[in-house]
Amino acid sequence: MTPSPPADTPIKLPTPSTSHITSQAVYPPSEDSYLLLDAFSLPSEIAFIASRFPAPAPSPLLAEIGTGSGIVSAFLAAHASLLFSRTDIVSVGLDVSFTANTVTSTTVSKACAEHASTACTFLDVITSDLTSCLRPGIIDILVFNPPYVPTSESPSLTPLRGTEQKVLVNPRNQEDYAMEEYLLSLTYAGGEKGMKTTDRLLDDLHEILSERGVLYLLLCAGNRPAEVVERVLGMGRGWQMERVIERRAGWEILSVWRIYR
Amino acid sequence: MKLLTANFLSCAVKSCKSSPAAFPLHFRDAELASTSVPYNPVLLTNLLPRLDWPALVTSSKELGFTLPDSKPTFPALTRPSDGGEVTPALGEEQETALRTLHRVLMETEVVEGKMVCGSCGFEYGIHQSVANFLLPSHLV
Repeated sequence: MTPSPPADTPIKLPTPSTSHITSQAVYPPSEDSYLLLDAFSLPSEIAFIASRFPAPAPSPLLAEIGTGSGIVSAFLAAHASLLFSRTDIVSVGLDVSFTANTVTSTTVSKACAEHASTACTFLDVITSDLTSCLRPGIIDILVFNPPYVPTSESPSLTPLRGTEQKVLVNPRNQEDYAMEEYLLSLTYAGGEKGMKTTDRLLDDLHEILSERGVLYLLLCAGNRPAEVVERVLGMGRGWQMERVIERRAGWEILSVWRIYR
Repeated sequence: MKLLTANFLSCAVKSCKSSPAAFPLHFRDAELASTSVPYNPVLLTNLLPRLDWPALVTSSKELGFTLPDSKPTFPALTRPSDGGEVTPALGEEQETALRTLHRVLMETEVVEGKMVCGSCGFEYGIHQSVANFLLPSHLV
């Protein structure tokens, strides 16, 4: 007897091209990025989203924090009708790095132009710390692949504040190299238990998401997902946290969770 | 940055979030461009219920566009999953109104300029179409 394939395997959709990324200082598409794409491509997740945001209920607002290369935002926007069962969705990308934002803008426009018949409307990239630029309570689908690696210290955003950032590509001098190293540290260094940034988001989550809102959050084993679940359930008001997908990636165990009330 | 996006933004200063004066942010010294965005009437009609119309009128006026004082109403449009025609078909007047909204909200881009908070007065820069909402350290 041949074993039947698992009931819930991701549907196959083209991965957005990131060939325009040459030497810009952004987090390159990695195992965690691809796990997020697969999480949204699970038939069970497609069904969950379709039932939570049925057309013609008002158009959902989709936001990604920390877009990096833009591969996740591009994938979700380009394949909206297949992943969200509707194309009347508006989407924004948020990142602290201007370099990441300009790269994301290109990644998303290329993918949406290539898949125009299934794409939703990607509005803008915005330079922002988490969702601090948005009105409270308006995000319906929030995606976050945080800096999750446990590190002794987590880098502060001070070097980016109060200045007009430039696109960092092809570093040439000592200053550029230092900035590149700093920007890359922001993409992974998560402080204690790798939760420093994620904790800041969870603290305000009730003010960030709409009533129907869902956060898709990537965690690694070092973040101690069981403790995060306990914390979310402890927020009361009907908050729930469920695992969508989990995968071993080298020495890491990565997982994607959905958090909603 | 698209004009529509302004309807989703407010001042990043924490104490401003609950202040009515912090929304919408006010455009200043805006340099505009027109970008082509695929027309999606279903999106426009399903988006309208969640938009803050008075704020949209203010933002539009600041960029030189006049929208009607009260939120227009349209029938809920749907497009069949095979990608066929949108139903119900709109009359000529409604079709024109929807296309105008599309042009103003989706295709009007602020390339350079500022957005100013009516509560604390902080100015957010827009540079190469990207708004910068990272606050200086003393405001965090």
